[in-house]
Amino acid sequence: MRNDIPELQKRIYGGDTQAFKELYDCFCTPLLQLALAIVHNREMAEEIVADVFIAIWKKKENLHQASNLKWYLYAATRNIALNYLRKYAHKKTLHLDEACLPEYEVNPEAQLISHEMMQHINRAIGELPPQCRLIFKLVKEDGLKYREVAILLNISIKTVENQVGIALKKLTKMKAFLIASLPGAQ
Amino acid sequence: MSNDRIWILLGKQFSGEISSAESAELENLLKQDPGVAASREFAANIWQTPIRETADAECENRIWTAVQPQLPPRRHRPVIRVLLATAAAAAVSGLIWLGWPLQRSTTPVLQQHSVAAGKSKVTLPDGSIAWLNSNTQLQYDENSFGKQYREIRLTGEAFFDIAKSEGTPFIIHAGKIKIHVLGTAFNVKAYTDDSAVYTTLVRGKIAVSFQNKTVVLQPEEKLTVPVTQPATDFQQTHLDKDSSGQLPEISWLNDKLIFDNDAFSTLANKMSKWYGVTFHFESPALQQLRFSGIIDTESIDEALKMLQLSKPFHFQISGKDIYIRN
Repeated sequence: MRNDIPELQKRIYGGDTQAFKELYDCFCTPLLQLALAIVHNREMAEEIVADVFIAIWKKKENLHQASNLKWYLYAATRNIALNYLRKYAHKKTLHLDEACLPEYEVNPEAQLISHEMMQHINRAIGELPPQCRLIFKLVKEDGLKYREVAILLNISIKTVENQVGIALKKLTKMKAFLIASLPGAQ
Repeated sequence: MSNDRIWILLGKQFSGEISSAESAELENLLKQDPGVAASREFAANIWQTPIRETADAECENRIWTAVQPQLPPRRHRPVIRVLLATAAAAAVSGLIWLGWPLQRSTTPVLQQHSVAAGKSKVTLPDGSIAWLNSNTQLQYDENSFGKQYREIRLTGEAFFDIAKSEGTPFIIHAGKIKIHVLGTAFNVKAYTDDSAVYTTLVRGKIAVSFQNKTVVLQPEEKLTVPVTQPATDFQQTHLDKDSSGQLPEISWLNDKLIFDNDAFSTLANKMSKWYGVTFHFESPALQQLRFSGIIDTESIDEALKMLQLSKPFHFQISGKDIYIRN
């Protein structure tokens, strides 16, 4: 996740559409994923993400008040998604477990571990239970605070702590096992 | 299970959420569990391995086509630029242009910052900072500001931290009073519907003049100048700091509205001030609902939706009135 969000925020506040597109490219997929996890309907999730970005652009004059644009985006996605759910409350209540989450791929720039190893890790991440995977992703990859994830998913901070712990434990076990079984490893 | 506890603590350590007590606990647990201690480095490695969702380009493009038409042409100025009506007209009409006083070498360009609700921080061209409370307007002429004087007009409430600049006095016009500053921090409350203009000095020194009077304020002093009564009825009082060492007059500056197991009626009071709205409850039972939380940058709509997540109620926003129903 890029770390020049405040810079983008300033440019968008000044009406810079290029900066807005950069923000979009950076957050479209993560926000879509969160929306999907809440509404579990692809079409609806896409509409929600579009609504979020349109709202950001329309209210860009207020952007200087938002101290944390990233959180603002996630919170807006959650709020709009909950609105959709309320509007379509006649449809069944959806659980995170049913949400379809996208596949993971390895960032090729990462040189920390071999390509093969990264594939294993990412496959392992893909095998985590959906809620666990989403929480882990929001904390580790999107850099959200435990408190923020708890608010987004309407769960307790304890649950976030537990799920991150479980994910880490499972992944580490898997990786330790893989390293031990690789030729040449001691 | 203590083993799971280690993993929870490791997660908190990697994500930077760990407290020093938990950090000590983790080191202790790791000493007792060499197995986990050995895989700690693996775990750290996993944490540092960037993963990335497979971006669905087609899907991203599809959403973008819905968003893009909503983007109007570029606008460069972040702040609302309000040209004086005459000046704006002058630009398009030669006739009025003739009527515009020609001796005026530069057209005044009025910079206006307004906050309808919430708070906003404004940095003025000289580096001075103004925190605007809700429903507040601050205006200055961009062309003349800082040349001889630094002159601004305020309606509403603001806290100022004025940059020192000897030779260019800072002057604030608020209601019937005028405040001269050289470099200091103070709060001015001058809403049009207030019965007085309140000036509270935090540090430095300011002189407040109104009609033919001038009052010099010392730090932690508050001056109240009534709007309707004769200006001689002003009050100069010394303020006491509250338990947190802050002057109550500037507590609105704290960026958050915090409520802890507050009854809805209490919370509604706080939110009324925060957002400048009025609450109407359908039944007293609703007023007894209790909430805990923090409102930060959320809009009233977002804040109410957040509250709905913990207790069932309905709301309707109609202008400045909020109706809470069962």
